[in-house]
Amino acid sequence: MKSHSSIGRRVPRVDGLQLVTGGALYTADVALPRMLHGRILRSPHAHARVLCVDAERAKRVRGVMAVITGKDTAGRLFGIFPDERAVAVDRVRYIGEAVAAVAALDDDIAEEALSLISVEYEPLPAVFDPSEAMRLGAPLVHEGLAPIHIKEGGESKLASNVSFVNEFHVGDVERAFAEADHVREDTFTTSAQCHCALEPHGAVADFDAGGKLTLWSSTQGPFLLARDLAFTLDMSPSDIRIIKPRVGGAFGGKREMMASDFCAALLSRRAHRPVKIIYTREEEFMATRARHPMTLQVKTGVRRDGTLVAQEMTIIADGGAYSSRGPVILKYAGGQLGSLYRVPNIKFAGYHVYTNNPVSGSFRGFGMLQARFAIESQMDLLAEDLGIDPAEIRLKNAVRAGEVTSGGRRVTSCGLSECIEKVVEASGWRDRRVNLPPNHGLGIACNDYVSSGARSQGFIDSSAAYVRLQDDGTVVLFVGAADIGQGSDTTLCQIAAEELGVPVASIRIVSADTELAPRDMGTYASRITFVAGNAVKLAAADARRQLFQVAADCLEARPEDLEARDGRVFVKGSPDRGLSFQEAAVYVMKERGVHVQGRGGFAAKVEDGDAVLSVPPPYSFGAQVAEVEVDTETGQVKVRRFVAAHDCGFAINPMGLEGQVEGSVVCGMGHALVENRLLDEGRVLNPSLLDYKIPTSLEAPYVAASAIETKDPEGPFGAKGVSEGAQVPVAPAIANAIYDAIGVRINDLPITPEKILKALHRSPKD
Amino acid sequence: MRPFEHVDATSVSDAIALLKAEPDGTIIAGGTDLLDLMKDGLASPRVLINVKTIDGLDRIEADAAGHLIIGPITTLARLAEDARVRQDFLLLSEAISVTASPQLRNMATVAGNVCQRPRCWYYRGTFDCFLKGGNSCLAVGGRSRDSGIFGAAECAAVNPSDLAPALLALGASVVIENAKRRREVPLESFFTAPQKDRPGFTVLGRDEMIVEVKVPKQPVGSRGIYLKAMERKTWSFAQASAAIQLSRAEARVTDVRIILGGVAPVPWRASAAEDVLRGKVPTGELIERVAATATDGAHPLGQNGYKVKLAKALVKRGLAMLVDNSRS
Ligand SMILES: Cc1cc2nc3c(=O)[nH]c(=O)nc-3n(C[C@H](O)[C@H](O)[C@H](O)COP(=O)(O)OP(=O)(O)OC[C@H]3O[C@@H](n4cnc5c(N)ncnc54)[C@H](O)[C@@H]3O)c2cc1C
Ligand code: SF4
Repeated sequence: MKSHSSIGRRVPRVDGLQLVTGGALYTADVALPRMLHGRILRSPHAHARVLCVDAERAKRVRGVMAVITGKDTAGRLFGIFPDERAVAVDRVRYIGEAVAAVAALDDDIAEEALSLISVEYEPLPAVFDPSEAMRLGAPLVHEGLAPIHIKEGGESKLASNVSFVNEFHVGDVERAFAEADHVREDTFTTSAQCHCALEPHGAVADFDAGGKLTLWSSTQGPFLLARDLAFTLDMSPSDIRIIKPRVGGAFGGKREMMASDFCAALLSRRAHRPVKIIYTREEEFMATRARHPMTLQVKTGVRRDGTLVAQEMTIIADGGAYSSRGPVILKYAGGQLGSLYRVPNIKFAGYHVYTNNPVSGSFRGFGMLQARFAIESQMDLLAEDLGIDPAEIRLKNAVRAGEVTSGGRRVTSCGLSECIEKVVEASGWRDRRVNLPPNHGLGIACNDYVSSGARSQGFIDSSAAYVRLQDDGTVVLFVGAADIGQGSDTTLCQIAAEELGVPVASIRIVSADTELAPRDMGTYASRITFVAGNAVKLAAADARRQLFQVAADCLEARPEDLEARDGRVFVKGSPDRGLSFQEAAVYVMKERGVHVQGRGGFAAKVEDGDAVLSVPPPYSFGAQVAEVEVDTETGQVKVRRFVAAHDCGFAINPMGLEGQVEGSVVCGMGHALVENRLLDEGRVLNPSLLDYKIPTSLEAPYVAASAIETKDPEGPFGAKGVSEGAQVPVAPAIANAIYDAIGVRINDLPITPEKILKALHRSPKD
Repeated sequence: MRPFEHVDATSVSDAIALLKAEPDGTIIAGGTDLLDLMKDGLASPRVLINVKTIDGLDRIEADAAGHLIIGPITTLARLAEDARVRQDFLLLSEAISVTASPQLRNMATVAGNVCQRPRCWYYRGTFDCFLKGGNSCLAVGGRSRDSGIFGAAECAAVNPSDLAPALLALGASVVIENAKRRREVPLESFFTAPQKDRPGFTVLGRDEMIVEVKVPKQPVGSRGIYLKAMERKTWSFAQASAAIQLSRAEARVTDVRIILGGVAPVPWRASAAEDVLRGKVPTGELIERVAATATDGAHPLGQNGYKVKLAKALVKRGLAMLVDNSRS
């Protein structure tokens, strides 16, 4: 097998030096001449009619250069389920919704001006609990939304405020339950986890005299952002250029247009000056997005030997005031039925419900995470009922390459069994589960994940790339893909370098700039390595072909006899008959006037068949073992160690994979044990990093991550996604480990000391 | 935020004169609490009187009788590192080591710490609760996870300080001055429940200044321990804490002070538990009994029952460790 020069290696990040020296440019660092500072006025009511917004006094404040209210906007509903306005016009539906914005010479003036805007509200009845919202007669979050029929306990009934329903049934679960040796049903609930990217949302907008807008934004998807901005500002997307600087974390929270993007743009248009808006930490918690709190009921039927025969899941998701990506998230949650373990009969009912809580949206794990918490917790319960080892029951049912799942997925490659075997071995599962000291426990959980998205806003998931050879033999790679901290710029440079035969250091990347780079859907669905990676590989191959075409003359060989490696082009088999890339570049450009510019595009193969969730292959897989220690007197859980194995197809950069797994474990551990945005009638009680706790380096466990390489036939060099999937098994692995340690099962995240103490001291009677 | 003036005081009498002259004036020390209160609109002084510029207020020394004298602007970080403190008053260092974060400990002062305001999220957030002039305490029937289990009257907030229980366990007092007089107040009567017009936890008048914190010399062989249950290992207020100072002669306990933090508007002295232990030989069985008594009289609200268990567990563990330590 040919060895690789640039991939499969621990290549340091291409932007690493800038990042660690503080030289990297983030949105907040962008400073333009005559730039103004913008602030947003937000609703103090969870639900109210906006009767009148009077901004006259604010406008008269010295140093205030523009004020906008809903009336100054086109009032368009945006989003993939268009139900939200960038600035409220006649109604507010959650505390924190934008109602007006100000641009001023500095932040203090803007802040003062906000306090002078008077808004007349007529408070309306509000609803905060999804099951209450579903009751007929509950206040309607969106007026005029008709009740719909849902199924409850086999009966059909009407429910209010349901914004989206997803139901499917494959096979015959009722019959399978009747025939199963054992059936159990459990209910799980998950909390509102916030992204807590250390860099808050923000944007700098600059309208030029010709009406063209340049916007620097902390975003995961510049191209889709341009579409939403163009639509809400009533202008053409081609008059908008979005530039994504370095992004300090996003985790799904920066996929959508925020009021910061829209208001900065509109204020700039009004003031004829650049405007910067950066969110405060408080705004991050109250006015962006959070992980959907869900109630999940799972009913599973098994045979005595542990074979799964049927699984039924019902989910009620608290969507908050607007849909955001919620309905898609719900579909992905349902798609977890039969995706990881072979289950012939599956049935799903998912309800996405409006409430007057802040909006729920995309978050690493995208609904699959909540579903997996429920299913993986229940797998352990089933294993115990049947007296089977939790790892064994998973191995027994694990899907394998070549299968088509009951949900209709074509599994092109699958290392699930290898992942399980790997973590079982590396964690010492068999011996240590028996020999651990008291109150220590091991827990296992698994995951699958997508490597590309379903259709988004009607678009098939696709990416493109250009590769340009410079006259000094170096290369510029242009991609639309957005590096939001996960390291995709580095991965894509490695792929281009490998395909072209140059060192990674010879490649410069221009990414996520809608004017310079080709189109891309953005960073989500763990899709960049697979989708953009394939595009980059094709573009690099195209550039190489163009180069060989011309260089062949110089080397007196046929193009097809040439090879490129380590920065040289040479005749196969005779490395001496060759040119350096620099010599080759000089030759093709100077002597022949040829410009080598490779192009590549790749589209995921959408299979619009009868799959319950049409996300095309490949799928990544993983398994993790958590080791915990529980203090039974204080209820505190210490996560000691995580052993993880992930089938990423091929690890383009093992260091990148480890980073993603480590980050996932810490974020997942936060979700499992502490993180929870708390509300009191829709108002966030803990909108700070002091009161909303995320784990620190002191809590971070040792993480041993390894790659299982199954070389997917469709992936670039066999690679698939890995990033998001790695967070999916964390919480159930911890929950299962806690049970192993102290015999207490908590189905309700986060698993706090309060809950543990309560469960431990519960008398057997109650 | 209201615009304000910032004045550097040159002496204690200067600071006190400024306080008297300016009814809207407030002392600022490290500013780690006060500035946040101002940004959140919970305090809006017109003049900030900076006492960090006063010479000699950061002293840590022993007086003739061997009592420890701590200047009010001594930072938490310096106090924790002081050799004498580490030698004779380790309890203080332990309490500080789990307070806030290293950055905050470098700024925060001893007097500022004992004067900090409630951390109740209704108080710090945009809610109209009793303490802010509203009708009722929102925590009592609401999210009471962090509220007190003892002594809650109109306001169920807990005193969030880690230093305060430790100082109390050592029998410390504060020396307070105003334009007219200087008085020494034992910490036990310094702390009180917050009131509408006085949202701090102390009896300090608005024209008064803490000029000294006094910690009495402890008997030879006396030992202390500070244990704190928190949601994460740093940058986290106490869910419950226990400060214990134990003196023994032979095997018998001659004196003990058990102070619970994070459970009441004042550092809560578990007197009944102390009585069970005093004069006895601390066996495992006795320690269990002491711990069980530590939360006598607790009245948990809807969501904070776990604090009772935590407090008991910390007392039990702390005593066990102290007894074990002094043996070795
Ligand atoms: C993120 C965060 C986490 C924290 N975690 C903890 C924790 O875990 N444990 C804990 O104990 N504390 C914690 N704190 C609180 C912190 O310890 C206090 O804010 C700090 O000790 C206050 O000291 P300061 O010098 O900054 O006081 P300032 O903010 O300057 O003043 C606080 C108050 O004290 C008054 N004051 C100051 N000096 C005097 C004086 N000499 N005489 C009279 N009045 C005076 C001021 O007028 C003001 O009312 C935390 C704070 C933050 C922001
Ligand atoms: S505990 Fe005190 S501060 Fe908190 S809501 Fe009640 S009255 Fe307000």
